Amino acid sequence: MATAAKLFLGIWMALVTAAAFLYLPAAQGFMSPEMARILAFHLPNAMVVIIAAVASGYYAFRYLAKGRSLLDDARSKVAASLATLFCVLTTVTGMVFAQVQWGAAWNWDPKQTCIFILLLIYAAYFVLRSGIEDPEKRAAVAAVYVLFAAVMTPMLGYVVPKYMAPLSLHPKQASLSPEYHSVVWSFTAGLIGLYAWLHNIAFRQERLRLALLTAEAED
Amino acid sequence: MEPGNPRWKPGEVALRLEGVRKSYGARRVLAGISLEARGGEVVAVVGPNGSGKSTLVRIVAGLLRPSRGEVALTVAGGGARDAAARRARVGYASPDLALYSELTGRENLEFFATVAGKRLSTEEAERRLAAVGLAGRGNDPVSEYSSGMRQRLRLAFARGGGEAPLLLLDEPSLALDERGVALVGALVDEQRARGGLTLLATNDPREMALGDRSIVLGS
Amino acid sequence: MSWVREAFAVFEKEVRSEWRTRVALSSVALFAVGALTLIGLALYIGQGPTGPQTAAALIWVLLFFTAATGLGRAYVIEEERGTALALRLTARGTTVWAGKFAANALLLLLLALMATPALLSLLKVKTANPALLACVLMLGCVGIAAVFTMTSALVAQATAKGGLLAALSFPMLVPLLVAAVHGTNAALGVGNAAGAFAPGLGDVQVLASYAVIAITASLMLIDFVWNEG
Repeated sequence: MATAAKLFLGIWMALVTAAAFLYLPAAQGFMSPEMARILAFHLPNAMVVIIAAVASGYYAFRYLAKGRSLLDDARSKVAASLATLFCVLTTVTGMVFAQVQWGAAWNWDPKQTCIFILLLIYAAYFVLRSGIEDPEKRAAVAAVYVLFAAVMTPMLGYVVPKYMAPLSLHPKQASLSPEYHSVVWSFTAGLIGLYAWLHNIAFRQERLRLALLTAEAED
Repeated sequence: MEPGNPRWKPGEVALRLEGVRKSYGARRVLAGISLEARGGEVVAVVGPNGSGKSTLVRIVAGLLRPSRGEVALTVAGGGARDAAARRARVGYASPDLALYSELTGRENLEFFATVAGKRLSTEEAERRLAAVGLAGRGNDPVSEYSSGMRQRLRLAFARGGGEAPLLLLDEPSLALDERGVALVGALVDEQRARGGLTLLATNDPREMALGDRSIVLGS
Repeated sequence: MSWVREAFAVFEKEVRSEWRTRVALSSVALFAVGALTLIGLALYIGQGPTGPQTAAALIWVLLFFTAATGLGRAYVIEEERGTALALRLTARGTTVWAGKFAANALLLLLLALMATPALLSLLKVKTANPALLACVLMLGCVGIAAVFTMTSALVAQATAKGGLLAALSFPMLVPLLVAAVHGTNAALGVGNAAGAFAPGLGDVQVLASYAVIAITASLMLIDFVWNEG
């Protein structure tokens, strides 16, 4: 079952990637229509960042509110590390796109700024974790930071566009052909599957590490 | 410090530890400790340096979360299973605990009473200071105290108004002179007479002699 | 009622300790004087004209970094000296947070009150609307103090405390800083030559809601750190 799912995911991602180059038409209305295909990868990555961030916050909440299981802490940490990974991918694909279309990789565009700040938060999160030795204390402090950030950062979504709207380069109304919708959503679906797979692998590794440490500490 | 009337009837105060462990990753600080103790008892916790005496006392005080195991303190039928409830019911003195050096001895006692939601009159504060041999020094800043006087102030902090059903003393005779050591004995006797429970973490033979029984932690 | 009394006791203790040692006050003041001297020298060497936009940016850069040097002590010093154990045994997490937050906000406001006029006169920038400037500074300082007090409680549990405080706080303060700089611009007459209050009203609202959210979130979350030990 699991093998079939992985096989299907691999084929699916390969097909969608191929479709982004073969089936997807060049996006008219951009400086460099051919290069706009990167959108098919950029947008799904950004969506997975949101899913990973929400997952990280959810498990942090669950750690504090329910049972204080270090496994929930491990899930939260894994989601945060994947959020960081997809944050980097989103930023890089976005910068490539911006360089090609507008001649500058960095523009302080609202969405660019938001994702960059998210990256800073996760970087700080991992530094904070590495500074605390006691596993129970580390879990609680990290969870509180994630939740505090989860409350404070949505204000970015309101404040940053308010002050930076005139500078926004992200198209407000997508003027892309319908093929884009199908490819972007197909890739998003595949990427979510990939995220779930990565999360599962990394979590199992964390769980093993925890069990190993407990076993070592107890004999 | 004279033994007052019993405050708790026999059996009204009970402490139960069940398989309490603490480890930092693979480093074990405390192996599974189980213990049952009742009001009126004085239990000495002994063991070599690094055997986890202070860690155990901190866990019982509700200042540290165990990796595994249960701590339950019952006082006259009412349970104090969670750490926050336990903290409000213990008197705790430890070499790791410091009082504010820029405040006077009396200000320290008044401050800690106020934040605990109690009212402490100046006379009562002076009485508590006099009980630990700090009469007349209440208006001096703690920074001018000798280490023995600071230890006496810690004892006054731990004793409070004598309302704690569980007294936790970690190396209480540290830096104390002969009369100070006698003071620790008086403090323990007072707690016993009240029907309260005392846990005494120590390696000092004079302090071990104060205990009715002892539990030994391995290294 | 008892909650207020306990929180006030913490605030009073913070102020009294600070008044007797003046550690935070002097480090914050010296940092601000150093920064102002540096700005003055740099402008003297550069010889260039500076506008209100530069002043608005510099005010908030100065306040952020001064806060990072001074406000982190709140919880960190309790852990380092060992008083945290005594405090944790007796006090509630929320009252300690509230008392420390009030003391931090007071310290930062005092600093803003002294550093801002100094900076503005150094840059020869006129204030178009002093009331708006005061509002923006006050609400901004309250928000910064709330976030730093909370992150200080987290950093106090970690071993490497140095730069961690600023690293944890900065990303969360971006919305506040953006609105504060915008509002300060309006108060200094950028696009607002008449010195009206209205162009900055939106910023004041953002700053006020930011402060309210930061305070509420901190009070809801602090117990999880406080009860951990």
